Amino acid sequence: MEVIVAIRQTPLLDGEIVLTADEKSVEIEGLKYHINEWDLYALEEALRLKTEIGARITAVSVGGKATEEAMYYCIAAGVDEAVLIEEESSYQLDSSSIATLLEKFTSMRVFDLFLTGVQSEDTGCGEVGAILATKLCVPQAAVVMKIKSLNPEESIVVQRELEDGFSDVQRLSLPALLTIQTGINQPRYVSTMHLRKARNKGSIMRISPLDLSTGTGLPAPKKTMKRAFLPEVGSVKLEFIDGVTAADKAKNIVDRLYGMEVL
Amino acid sequence: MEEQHIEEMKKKVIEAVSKCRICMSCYADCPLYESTRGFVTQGPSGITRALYYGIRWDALDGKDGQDLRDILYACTTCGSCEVRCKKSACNIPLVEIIETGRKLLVEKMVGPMPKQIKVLESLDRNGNPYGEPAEERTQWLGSIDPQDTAKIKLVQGDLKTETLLFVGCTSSYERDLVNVPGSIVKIFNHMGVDYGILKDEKCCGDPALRLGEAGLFEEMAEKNTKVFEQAEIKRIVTISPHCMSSFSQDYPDLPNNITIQHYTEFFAEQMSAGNLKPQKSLKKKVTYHDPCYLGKHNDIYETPRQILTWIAGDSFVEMEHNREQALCCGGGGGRMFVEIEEIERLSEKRVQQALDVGAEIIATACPWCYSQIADGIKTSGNEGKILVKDIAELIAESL
Amino acid sequence: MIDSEQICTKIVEGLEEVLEKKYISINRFERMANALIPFPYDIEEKQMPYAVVMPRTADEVSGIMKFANKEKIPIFVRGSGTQLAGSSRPHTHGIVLNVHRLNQFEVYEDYGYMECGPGCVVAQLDDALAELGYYFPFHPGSRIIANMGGVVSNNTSAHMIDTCVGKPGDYILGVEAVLPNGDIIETGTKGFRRPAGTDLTKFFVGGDGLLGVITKIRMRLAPGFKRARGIAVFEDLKALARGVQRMYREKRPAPMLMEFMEKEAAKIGYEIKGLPEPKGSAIFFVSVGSTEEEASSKLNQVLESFQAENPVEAYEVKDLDVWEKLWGAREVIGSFLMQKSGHQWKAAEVVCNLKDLEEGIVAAKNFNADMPSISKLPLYLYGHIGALSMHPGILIPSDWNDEMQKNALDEIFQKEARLNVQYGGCGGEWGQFSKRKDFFVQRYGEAAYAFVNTIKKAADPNNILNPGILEGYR
Repeated sequence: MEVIVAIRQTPLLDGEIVLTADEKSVEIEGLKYHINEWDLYALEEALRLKTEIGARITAVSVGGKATEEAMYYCIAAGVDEAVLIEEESSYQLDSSSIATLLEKFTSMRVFDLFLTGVQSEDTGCGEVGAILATKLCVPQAAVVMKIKSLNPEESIVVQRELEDGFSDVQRLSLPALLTIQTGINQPRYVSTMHLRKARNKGSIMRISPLDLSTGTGLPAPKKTMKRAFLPEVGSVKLEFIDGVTAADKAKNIVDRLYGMEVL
Repeated sequence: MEEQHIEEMKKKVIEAVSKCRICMSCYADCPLYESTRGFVTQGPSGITRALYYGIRWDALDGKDGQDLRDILYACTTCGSCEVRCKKSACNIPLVEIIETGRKLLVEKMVGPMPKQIKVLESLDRNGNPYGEPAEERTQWLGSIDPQDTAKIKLVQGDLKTETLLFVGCTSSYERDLVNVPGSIVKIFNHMGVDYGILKDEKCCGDPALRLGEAGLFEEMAEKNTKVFEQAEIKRIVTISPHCMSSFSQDYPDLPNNITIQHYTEFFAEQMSAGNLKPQKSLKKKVTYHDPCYLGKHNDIYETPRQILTWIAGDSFVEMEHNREQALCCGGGGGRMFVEIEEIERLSEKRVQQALDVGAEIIATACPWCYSQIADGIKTSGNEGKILVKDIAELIAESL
Repeated sequence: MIDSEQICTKIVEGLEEVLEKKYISINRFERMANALIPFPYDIEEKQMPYAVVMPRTADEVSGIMKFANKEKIPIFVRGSGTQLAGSSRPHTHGIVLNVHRLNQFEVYEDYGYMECGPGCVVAQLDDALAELGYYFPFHPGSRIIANMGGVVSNNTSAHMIDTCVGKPGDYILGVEAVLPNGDIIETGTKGFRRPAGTDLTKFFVGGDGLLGVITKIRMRLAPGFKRARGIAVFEDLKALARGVQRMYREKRPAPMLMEFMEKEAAKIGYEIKGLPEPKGSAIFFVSVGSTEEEASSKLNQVLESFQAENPVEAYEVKDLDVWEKLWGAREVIGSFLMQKSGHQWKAAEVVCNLKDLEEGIVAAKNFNADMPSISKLPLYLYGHIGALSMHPGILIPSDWNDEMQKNALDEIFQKEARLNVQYGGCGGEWGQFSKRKDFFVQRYGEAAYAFVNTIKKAADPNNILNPGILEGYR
């Protein structure tokens, strides 16, 4: 069984965000990156299929030099093949462009299952999976929280997360595309030694977008950024509640809340 | 890691565990077994034997691998079992076997425990296990009297210092503990010691090694060793016994001419030399909790007691389990970062032992013991009846 | 293994009505760990338990036994698993009933007795009672983790000399037990006069775990003793034996503790403790009385008997620091030898009669001389000579494979059986069956063995409770 997993490298969001001078995007100088959290769950789910039924896993990403690290991570984690569609300006591409590049790549391959994360941490659009499935003309299921059963030649049954604790169960014929929700499994820890070995001995298959597109270079974006700005930060009043014991502190909080007529 | 290296680790474990007589004596002293009361794989012989069979049965993956992981990572690595085994049985290196098991599981991508993954990620990215930004590591200096902090050399780049105070992650970031490094700074300045603190101090690496991430530990040790060499350091004084233990026992390439000391050793030396003269001022009954990594792992039992007796005189009382038999607080071996279901919390048990001898203060010399015991005082409802204090705080208060 | 998985799930489902799910474990490693005993060879697949259960009350134990009988699944009862004749290792697949949670303990000073569960740790009870001024009769070497259930089921004398304090079981007033069919019964008395005639307590105290699961033990509180300590060193081992014979024949008051170390063993122990080299084999003993004078007087009477056999030295030890070292010298030999050689220590229990003691002690010294696989291994001799009991201890190499380890153990038990049959003695510490079943048959005959089987069959028709102990196994 052939499984492809789409991986996106996203910036770590624990530092300060600085915008470019033209207010169209984020300054990438000095950013640190990691694999998008949802994609880690998708990767783990693929690797689980490898362990259980011997599926062959290909990880694919669109990105520049910095994305090599994500590819080595996938190799260290145990994928059979890591493919990098090399494009330094990948952060300026919109969901539709990325989906187009992935479609061009995937159509050169045979696959049974394509996994993406539900959304990415940086853009939060949640569109690539859906657009890609449409372009590939395969059935799709979004926000998958569990693969219930799999008939490798025919179909897959998945449970999808809905609101308020509800879920539904769907059967899709293969090949199909799933967008994977966090919590579906426990992503493994990939150790420093494994990463070192992957960097030394692993090989990334590199593809240029030119090799993929039938036209003239990158697919044109369907969205353009009008303006990027940081939200206004209001003044925040912070008061530490006094008290020696936890019980004292609790009493003081309750008194304050009564005083503010919140309770 | 090369396959051959993994096979060697497995072979070593089998050989070592084969020598175990399964006399079960180690259970008598295991704090994990005591607090989980009953499941045999929660004791040293059971944990190591589980690893033995895990290797023999080739059961290091899947559900079995996860079960084995849960068993191996519950241990606090306190070393009480090794003390007992050396005394009455075969002297099996139980903690080393358990740590080797953790390394094997990390290499199999089964370990560590899920909640500990972000600890390792944080060590790699931020140089501390708590997910705190690296840039904020020296912010604690802002809560100290500027007169005291003015005398500290902030070492980075080409700056050299003979004596280094290695603050450690917990003392740097834990707001509740800020008085501990603050007291140490005060004492250093009182003695007029010329010393420095690293501007970009990074974790000593102990949590990485205890969690089985040998590769990450190697990298962290290498970087720290370079920094120490570049600053031409001759003496490192640590606040945490875990840092001290890591530097002295685990760092592969630390130059021989660097003296590693826990602050109690350094201060006791200074007291004997007459450079540090705390008053015999503590009237409250104080007892001492031996941190496992100061006591059992490094045989330092009497030095902290000398200091306390100096300050407290007859007010110093011993708990029932002390020195080699001290009850582990439950914080070591990666246990700070993950909850294990216990019938009786170790920290609460220790607090009760202190109350049983009439102590009003539990003194200790490890930031993790301090945290654990502070929590234990709260969760057992004994706030106001007993306090936890670091020895450094008591010395500073007596100056 | 698939069959096993189905059974594991069936067991969990069936027992969820009896006790909380979190006290039923089918974790593969927990199951393995509950089949561990101090024997050096691996557990066989057929011995792996299906599940481990940890009941808290007699009712839960009863529910478990009923389930087991209905499903015909064996139950193996276990505490710390430290018994040295193999009783704690499951013979076949089954459920391990671990008694650790049956550890209630209450002292009723008004009644003059204490009650405890089988999961209580011997040393903890001993310490608690000693603090209150009471004597505790169980004192095995494994006391820091041994459980009451085991020491009572074996009625193990260990260090205590029978002729002074009786068997420890003599202090037990009654028990509560769950029969193999799940019925809960109470035995014995709450007073001090134990039943004349049929006392069902005897079916469980020293019961080898055949007829029921002990869920509560009631033991009378005996006042603590005052002690006097003595030592005698004999150049000749036979003279040491003669000294003990004299002690009995001359009607001396038997001491509570009387240990000996043969010269080679003594040398090691003394050196570790920083004592000067012993000039022969050593006896250490503790006489007891209600006052120190009484204890001392009894001790000196024993010394008189020893003096007649020309010891190198024989005297009362008044200095407690010296005594700590001497007494401690015995305890460190085993661990020292194991750590030095990396080998495993295994001892036999040879118990002689009084008349043949001289011959017996020599036979114990030459224990492994005619044993094919272990004759070349070093042997050290020590034991509770006051009870005429000797432990020839052998170091078995850890790098021997499972087959060689089993052969060695078999030879040890076979030789032990032969000597005990020869001298008419029997083990007083580790039970009568399991790896000692052959001894029982040789010593008491087929008819006696058949009789025990008849009783077992009557009480446990489905052979659910601890099968394998009575049958004996390799």
